[in-house]
Amino acid sequence: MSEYRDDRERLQADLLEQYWAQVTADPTAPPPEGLDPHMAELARALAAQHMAPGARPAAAADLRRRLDAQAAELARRRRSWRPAWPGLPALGMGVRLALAVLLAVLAIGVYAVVSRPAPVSALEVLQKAQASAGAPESGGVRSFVLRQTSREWPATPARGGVTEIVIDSRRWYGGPGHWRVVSERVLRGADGAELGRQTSLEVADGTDLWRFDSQANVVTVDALTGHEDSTGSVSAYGQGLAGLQELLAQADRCFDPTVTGRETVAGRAVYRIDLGPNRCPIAGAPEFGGRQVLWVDQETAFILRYERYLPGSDKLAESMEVAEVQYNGVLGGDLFTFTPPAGSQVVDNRPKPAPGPEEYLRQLVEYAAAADFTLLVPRDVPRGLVPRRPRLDPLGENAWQLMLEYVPPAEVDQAPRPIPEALTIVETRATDEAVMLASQGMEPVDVPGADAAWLQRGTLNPDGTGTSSVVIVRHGDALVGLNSMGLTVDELLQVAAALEVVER
Amino acid sequence: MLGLFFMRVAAPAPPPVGVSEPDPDLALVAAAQANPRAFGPLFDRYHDTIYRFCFTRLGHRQAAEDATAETFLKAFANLEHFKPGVFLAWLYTIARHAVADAYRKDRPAESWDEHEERAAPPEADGAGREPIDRVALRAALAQLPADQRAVLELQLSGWAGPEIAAAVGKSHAAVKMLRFRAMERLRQLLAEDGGAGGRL
Repeated sequence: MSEYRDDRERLQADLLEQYWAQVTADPTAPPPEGLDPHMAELARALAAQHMAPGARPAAAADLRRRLDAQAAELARRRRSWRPAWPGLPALGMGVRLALAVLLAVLAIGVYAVVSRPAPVSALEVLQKAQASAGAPESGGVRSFVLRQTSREWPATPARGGVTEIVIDSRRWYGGPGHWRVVSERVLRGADGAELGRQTSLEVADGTDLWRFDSQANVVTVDALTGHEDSTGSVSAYGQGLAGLQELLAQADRCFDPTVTGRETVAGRAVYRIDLGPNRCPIAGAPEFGGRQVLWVDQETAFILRYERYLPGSDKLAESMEVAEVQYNGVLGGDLFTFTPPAGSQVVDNRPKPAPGPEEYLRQLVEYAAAADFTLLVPRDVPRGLVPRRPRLDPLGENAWQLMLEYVPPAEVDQAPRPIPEALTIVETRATDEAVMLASQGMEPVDVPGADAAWLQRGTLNPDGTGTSSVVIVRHGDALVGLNSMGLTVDELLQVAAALEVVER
Repeated sequence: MLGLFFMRVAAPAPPPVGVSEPDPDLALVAAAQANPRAFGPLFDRYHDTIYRFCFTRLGHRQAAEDATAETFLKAFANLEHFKPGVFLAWLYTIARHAVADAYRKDRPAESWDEHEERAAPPEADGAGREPIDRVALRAALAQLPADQRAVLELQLSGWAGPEIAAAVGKSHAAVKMLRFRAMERLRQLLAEDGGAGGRL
């Protein structure tokens, strides 16, 4: 990078930065003394006339919903593969005779080539695979059990010096909304040494989706809504059904897939399909632009083997292979039930109705007994906001985070979404590191009753966009963050001053 | 680490980051990689930032919303592949590709001018000074060196200096110099064009 031409240029560049920050917030702000008036005028004119407007809150909320339900979105975009059979018109006798002759000729032709495999459209096979990955029934599979191994070699060593990630999985699928996946993930370093091992269990019982992290001894349960129209992560491809859907959805646009052979994987006859080079490399992740090869079960369209190479290289970046697979066997119903192990922490994300005042307090008292710090709750909140059900989430071994949300009454039973006027309070243990990091760059303020407090002022644009104001409060062993875009700074500070200890 | 995570959940608009500092988003990214539901705070923090960039480039609300959606959906789908680095720079790269795709894929026949017609025309300011014509501005921006143009476009998108530095992979000081030189050149180009820039 070249240097400044002289000190004047350096000074002007600094003053210009200062003025941009001021004039974008307030177009009438006077330029700082010493800034070239022509430069100041250009900055003012650009800021007044050509600044991009903020995003529409409705668009942000809509996109947030799409992200929250991406699995459902992908499933909706999926199109089942069905061959087209146009109806035959009524035919005259002559035409029927001609058709009979034509059929006879065709039969002779078919007989001549019957010893050779019929040509197969790679794109059609991939379309079937796409349908089958999300709904195995489309390939005639009502249930299955399979065992597979996935390997990934990061292009650059991942954090902790990990050079290889191996995941062994066993998967049971008993119909829509019923699956069980047991996975063991092993991280290895360059010398092959094991750097970490983690096992996980996922069970969909038709109503809820349970995930158990045995290492952390934490169970997470979500409503199956939004997951039940897919097989979650149960599909043979591996961990990322979404990734597979993306890949297959792009098949005709981004690849020139070709059937390059007929082989056997896990005792099943498969098509080997080479996708060829990717014409749509992933932005920001060019290492995913390499060649990819899929082995697709000829009967069920399950992907039983997969390889991805580094761009322009024969070096494997990722692979998956199914070692065993059985279709349409009888599976015990107990495979698709789950009871949290005794002593495990359960994070329940299933939607619940808003609590009444007594229930709210009872829940907080229960949480206060479990948390590793003193819980605080505001005596009152402004603008008639009402609380959603509080959440105490584990952050790790013996570490917790409390989340309190206050929203307008009309929102309290609705699915969570960005609400500008909402107040969010997050509490955790006040370690010195947490306090230092949380308050970094913020302005110290006085909050009655608090050991220390800091403020960061937000902005609210006329179009409803902006950033939240945040007040951070240290209160004994608790660190509390209060965050809202709609409440004023004074209101936030009043709520911070009204925090009271929840008795254990 | 826990403190960082706490802070970002509690503070969706923390002080901006520079390339010379560790990226505090990494704690949030790590949380989202472990649990996709934790992507929300990253989205909340950067949605408006990315949208404004897309709007600056595309000049059309719907196109900008589409490109923004494309950016976040891709980022969400590929988050597990994000390597330690500056998260905003990664998002910015995806957004630039999404903007380029918006031209190639959806609106191949449209020119900048057609986009401009859909954006609200600039108005003369209260002091009666003539506005800078959008087409003239676009033409002048196109003549700037790529790094100067990128910095100025991000400035028009409302990004702060440290955010621009993080996105374009330069130091904050370098961004200040590029911005200054970009505006010097822009003023000359607008003056040569004979538009409002001639009076600046």
